[in-house]
Amino acid sequence: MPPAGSLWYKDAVFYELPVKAFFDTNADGIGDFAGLTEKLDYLRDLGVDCLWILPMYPSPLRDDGYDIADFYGIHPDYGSVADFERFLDAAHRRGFRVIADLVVNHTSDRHPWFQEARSSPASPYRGYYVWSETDERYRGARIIFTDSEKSNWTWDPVAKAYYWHRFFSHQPDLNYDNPDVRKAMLDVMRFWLDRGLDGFRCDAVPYLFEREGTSCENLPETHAYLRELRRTIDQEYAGRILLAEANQWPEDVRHYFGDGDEFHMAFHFPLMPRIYMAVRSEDRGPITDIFTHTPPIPAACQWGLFLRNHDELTLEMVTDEERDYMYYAYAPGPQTKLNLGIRRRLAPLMDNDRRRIELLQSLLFTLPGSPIIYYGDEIGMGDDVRLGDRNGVRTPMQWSGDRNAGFSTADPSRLYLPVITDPVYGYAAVNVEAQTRAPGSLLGAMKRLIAARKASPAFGHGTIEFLRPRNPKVLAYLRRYGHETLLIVNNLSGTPQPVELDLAPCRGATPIELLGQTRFPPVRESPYFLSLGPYAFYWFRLAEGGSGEAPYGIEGTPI
Amino acid sequence: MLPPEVRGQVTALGTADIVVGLPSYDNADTIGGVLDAVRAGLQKHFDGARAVLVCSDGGSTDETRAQVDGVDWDAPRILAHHEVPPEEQVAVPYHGVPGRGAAHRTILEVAYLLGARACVLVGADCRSITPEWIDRLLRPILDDDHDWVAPLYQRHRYEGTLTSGLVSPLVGALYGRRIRQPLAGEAGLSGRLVAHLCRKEGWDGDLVRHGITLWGLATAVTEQFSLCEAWLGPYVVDARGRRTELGATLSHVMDSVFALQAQTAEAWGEVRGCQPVPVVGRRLPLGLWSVELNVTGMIRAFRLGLKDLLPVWEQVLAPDTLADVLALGFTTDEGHGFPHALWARVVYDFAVGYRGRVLYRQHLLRSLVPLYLGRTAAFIRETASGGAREAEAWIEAGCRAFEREKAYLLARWP
Repeated sequence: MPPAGSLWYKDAVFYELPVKAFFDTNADGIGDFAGLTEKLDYLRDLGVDCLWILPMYPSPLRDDGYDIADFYGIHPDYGSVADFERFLDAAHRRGFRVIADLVVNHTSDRHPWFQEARSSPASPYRGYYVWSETDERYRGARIIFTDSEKSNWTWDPVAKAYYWHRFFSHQPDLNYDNPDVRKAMLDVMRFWLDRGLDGFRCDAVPYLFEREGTSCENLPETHAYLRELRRTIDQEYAGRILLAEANQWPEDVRHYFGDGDEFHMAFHFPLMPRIYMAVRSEDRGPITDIFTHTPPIPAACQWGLFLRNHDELTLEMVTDEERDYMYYAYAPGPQTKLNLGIRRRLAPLMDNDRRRIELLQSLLFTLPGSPIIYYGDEIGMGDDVRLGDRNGVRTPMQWSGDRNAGFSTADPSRLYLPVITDPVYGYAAVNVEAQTRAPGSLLGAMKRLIAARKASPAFGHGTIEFLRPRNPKVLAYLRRYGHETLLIVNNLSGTPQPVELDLAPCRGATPIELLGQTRFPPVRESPYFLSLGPYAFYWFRLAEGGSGEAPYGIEGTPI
Repeated sequence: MLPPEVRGQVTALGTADIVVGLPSYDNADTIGGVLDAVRAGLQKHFDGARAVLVCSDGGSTDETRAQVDGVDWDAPRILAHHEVPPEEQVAVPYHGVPGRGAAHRTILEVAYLLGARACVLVGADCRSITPEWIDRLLRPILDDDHDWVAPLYQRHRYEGTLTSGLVSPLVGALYGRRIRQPLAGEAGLSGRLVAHLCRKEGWDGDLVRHGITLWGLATAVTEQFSLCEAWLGPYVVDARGRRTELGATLSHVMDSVFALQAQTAEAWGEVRGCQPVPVVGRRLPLGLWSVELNVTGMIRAFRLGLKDLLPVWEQVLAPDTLADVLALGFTTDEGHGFPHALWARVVYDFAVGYRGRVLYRQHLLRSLVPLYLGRTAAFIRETASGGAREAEAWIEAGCRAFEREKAYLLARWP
């Protein structure tokens, strides 16, 4: 087991992966836990700390596993519970922590609970779901999947009643007003935590309760139940974490941290599109603005930051004007749009420009929070917008130039999704094997960024103070933690930029560039001048008195 | 390569018996004392010899140059300015003289053109230099036909551990001569060796960036020049002008050492064993005065390396060596150790990794720091209760381990 540091998630670099997409060992065209176990050394070399496993449970897979049909099993395509336990042991031996998705809001309509519930009003499971004789209740609740759903109610001819669902109609919402449901979900968590899992990424948490006359989101009852979950975790499984998926504005998400007694972590959804906007508009405003709207969070809590994930690049948390701009800038064709978002990977969004990709990673790794890397983005994998739903960003991991990108030895026609084959992003051009052999590759750069981030606790724990240089194309900020101060400077534009930074409070300090350990001229009273190449960035440690290391007593004398 | 104004002064001087060279940079506080000691040493021990003082300055912003100009001394002097590489303009290197390699080149070329019988290099930031140093660095050349005189200092047992625990054992095992201060700023060179070095290629490479001493010494050893060591006395420098960040220091030093090793593999590949060189002067024991050391911090840094640098070390260290290193993390602080043979293998693996460029070299060198701290902590912990003899025995055992494990290096060298 890795060491049990209680705030480990604040220092960790997370890596999000679907088991089916990672590595296939039984040649059925679908990745499995045995394959993921084989590839743990790759992830260790990359330097990530915590693996986030996308839904792994038995499911009809109508929503990529977020439609769970059995909370206590492993989808047979991925292996067995025993395979999962072997994977978990191997991961822990290498020092990883592992968290898994858990959908708490709803189940699949194939789940035995729902099948029982619809069969009879007298079923003990009838109360596990939200039923109504009319589809007029809770009209204040918005429809989330606007492209595919017209209502949050769907008529069930077997039950002869409407059932409530905030997502797809095949995903009926659980009824958390029922104490049996609340207990059942706690039992599910205990089952996996007993097997050693280090936490859960809890899907769709704002929607657990419904109340007439409200938006049915972020209700006090929801928070009360989440605090109950947290108490159980703390009392019975110290060191494990809960990560909230709450696609809300920061001031609303803030409530999911409670007083440090709800979630340990929550995603910062509105930041992500604004990073893209800032780079495209070559203006730091969108990023600094969203942080002015980001409230402080309890000391033991942490934001989860990401550039891309398994869903579309969601634009729910932007204004209509901003959304139009994002579509204009990043979604050139109708195929790339989905719901209120853009279904593309990081590299294509950046036109495969290494400088911009690395700049975005610099922002991801240095803004306040724990970075979450989506599998394949570390090598610049592309997408396939011809595939339906969000499948275009869920294609097999590209390990090598071999058949099926080295992902599987199955007949290509049996792969769960085809590998990317286009000339720019195809596996012949973009793969782990080739980039491992080239230290200057994107993969190599990612390893260095991760290593540099892990060397300074201020990245995970520190405060942020934005500097306000006159050049708006430069985003600069100080991260402080304990005695350590970091200075991060990013050029958001595609042309070289000068910048003068007011670092007078740090005068006397020597900036040491973290990736190359190069010492820059010391900070003086006058503005500190830097020039940055296109999309360039600097990570500095401001070493007081010329040294940033703890004295050992052997440095002060000649060698 | 000499600037025209310097060449003109050399031509005007014609010849010299002895050239004294001082590379300098912002040494106004100390250079006066150094010049006094040099003058007194020459007058006392080499009266009548024609001596020339060459000060090569890297762009001092204080009164250093004025002090050289104004020194009360009738010997000819040349005040030169040497070029400083950009990276050393923003961060002074560990030895305190930006562009020290260029300074050494200027000094040696002056000595060569003047036909000097001997050249002595001294550091302008040295506070403990005495007139006797000049005699001890020059006498073995002028009287006994040695070509290179390396200094021996009386130092505290835990000072200079980078040299005593890493550079000296490695250089000794490679080139077969036990030199205890292969990176020192002080040295004596014969006119014959000066001429040889001036005619030799390699001045423009990285090997000479931090000074001639290591490269010149290796040349002297491998090309059969005569070496000796001379006891000088206590070694105290003005620390304010020197870089003291451990990671940067180790990185710079080992960059030079490993680069030299990579370029001279043909010369050291055949060398077996390690012979001491003649020593002149009265032997001085290691100092035992009290110093404040953070051994706990060193061990903590070593353990942090075990935790964070494993992916790096996996690319550098041989599997068995890595396994032995990892096993060191299983002990308590009180039981912390780092066996001599394992340390030698670790250093050899890093040399191989440097040669093969398995990582960016700066990253590779930086990742050696926690291992060095682990090794140094073991040295201090295992000898703290003993005296100078125990510390010297430990250092000697380290040197022998490097010699014994050289077969390991040869087996892995690409």
